[in-house]
Amino acid sequence: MKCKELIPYCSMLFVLLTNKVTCYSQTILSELNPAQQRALELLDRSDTISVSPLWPHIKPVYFFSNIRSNILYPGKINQGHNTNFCSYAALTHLLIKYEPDNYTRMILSLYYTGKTTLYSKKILTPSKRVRQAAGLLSDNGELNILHANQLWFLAMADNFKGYLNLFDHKYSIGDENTFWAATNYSKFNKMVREFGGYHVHAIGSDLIRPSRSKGNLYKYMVNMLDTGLVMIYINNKLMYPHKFTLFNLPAPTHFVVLYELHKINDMIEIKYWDYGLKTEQLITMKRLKKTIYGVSSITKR
Amino acid sequence: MKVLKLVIPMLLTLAIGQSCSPERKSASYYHENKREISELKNEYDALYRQQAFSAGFTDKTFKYYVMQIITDTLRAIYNSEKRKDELWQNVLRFHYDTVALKRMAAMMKKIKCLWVGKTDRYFGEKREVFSYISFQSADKAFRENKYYVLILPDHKIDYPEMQEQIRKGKLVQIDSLVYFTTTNRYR
Repeated sequence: MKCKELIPYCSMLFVLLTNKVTCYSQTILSELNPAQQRALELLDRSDTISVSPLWPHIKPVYFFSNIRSNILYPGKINQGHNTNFCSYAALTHLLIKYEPDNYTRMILSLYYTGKTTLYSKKILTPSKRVRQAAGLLSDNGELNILHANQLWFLAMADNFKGYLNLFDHKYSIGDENTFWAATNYSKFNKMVREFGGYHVHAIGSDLIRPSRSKGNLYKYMVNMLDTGLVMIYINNKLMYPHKFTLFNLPAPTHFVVLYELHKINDMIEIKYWDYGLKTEQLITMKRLKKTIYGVSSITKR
Repeated sequence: MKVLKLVIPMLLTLAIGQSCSPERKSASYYHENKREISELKNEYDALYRQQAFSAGFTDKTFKYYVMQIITDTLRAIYNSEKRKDELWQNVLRFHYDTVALKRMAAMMKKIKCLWVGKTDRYFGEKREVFSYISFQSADKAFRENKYYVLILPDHKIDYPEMQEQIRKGKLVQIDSLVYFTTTNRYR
C-alpha cells in the first residue's frame, strides 16, 4: 500500500482517537462538580509557561500541575515531611474540597501579582523572604516538588501570626519546621474565618482540653458532624498508643479534619484526614477525651 | 604521675562514651542480627508488594501488634489488642500470605524490632523509597524519646544530599546497604 492510500485510513484513525479522547475528557469533566470545573477553566485561561518574577524559584511546570492535581484530588494535599504546616494543610484540604474555584483564584493571584484578597477582605501579601524561598524547600518529602503547596503554605504562615510566632516572626530557610510556622488554636480558627468567611464554633484551647465529660464530648462531636464540617486539634502521639515511652507531653500537636465517629461496643471508631489520606482507627472513649484539645465546627457562612 | 592522673580519667571517659555510643550499639545490633534483618526485609518487601502496609509492636513484651494497611485513599490502623478479629479479616481481604506474615512477626519479635515500614525521600526531583526498621528505645526519664532506626535501601544511594548527611553525622553507614540514624518516633 502506498503512502497516499494510507492517508484516509490515518485520518479516520485520527478522528476516532481524538473523539475517544474528547469523550473521555468530557466524562471526566462531567464527574467534576461546577466549582471544580470553574477552577479548571481559570487554570486553562492562565499563562502556564512564564516564570513569575515575584516568585523566581517557582517552576511553572511544577506549580500548575500541583494546582490541577489539588483541584482534582483535594484529599491528596500533603504538608510534606518535617514541617509545621498541618494547620494550613487541614484548612486547605477543606477549602479546595468545597471551594476549588476560590482557591484557584487566590493562588493564581498570589503567583501573578504577589497578593490576594481573602473572603474576609484581608489582603494576603507574602514577604520577599518567603517569595524568594518558595520553590527551594528541600528535605520535606514530596513537598520539595509541589511548588504550589510551598507557595501557599509559606504565604499562609507568613501572613497569620499568633503568640507562638512571637519570637520567630521573620522567615529564614528551614523555618517551616520551627515556631515560625506553628499555629495556636485561636490563630487556626481565625484563618478558617478569614479564608472562607465561615462561622466557626470552637471549644477547647492550647492548654486545657474541652470541659466536657467523655460521653458528652463524643455526642457533641457527632452532633457537629451532622450539622457541618469539623476540625480537631489533637495530641498526635496519643493517637498511636504504645508502651515504649515513660512520658508524653500533655499538649496539642496536630490539626486534622474529622470525617466520621462511631461507637462500636465500648470503643470509638474515628476516621480523620491528615497527611493526604484518611485514617481509620479504633480508640477508647478515655483516649478520645485525652487526645482532643479543640473541636472547631463550621456550620454556615 | 601528673600525666597519668590526667590520662586515666580521659581514657575512662572515652571508654564509657564508646560503650554508650548509639553508633556502636546500632552497628553491633545489625551485625548480631544481620541474617534475620535481611530475611525480615525480604519478607516485608514481598508482603508489601501485595498491599502497602507497615507493622510493629506496641508493648515491651512484644505481645500486642499494630498493622497499618495503606490504600490509595485510606490508612487503616488495626491493633491486635483492640481489633484482632478485624485485623485478621483484613489480612485475608487483602490476600496477604498469612504464613509469611506470621514468620515476619516471629522474626521481628526475635530481634526485638519495634517497627518495620517504608519511607521516602526526594533527592532533587528523584524519589527514593527505603525500608526501615526501628528498635530499642533509648528513652530516659526527662529526656526526649529516642529510637534507633536502620535504613535499608534496595540499591546504592549516592546523592550529594545523602553524603552531606553522612558527613554531618546525621546518618551513619554501617554496611553497603545499611544506614543508621536516631529519631524521636519509632514508626
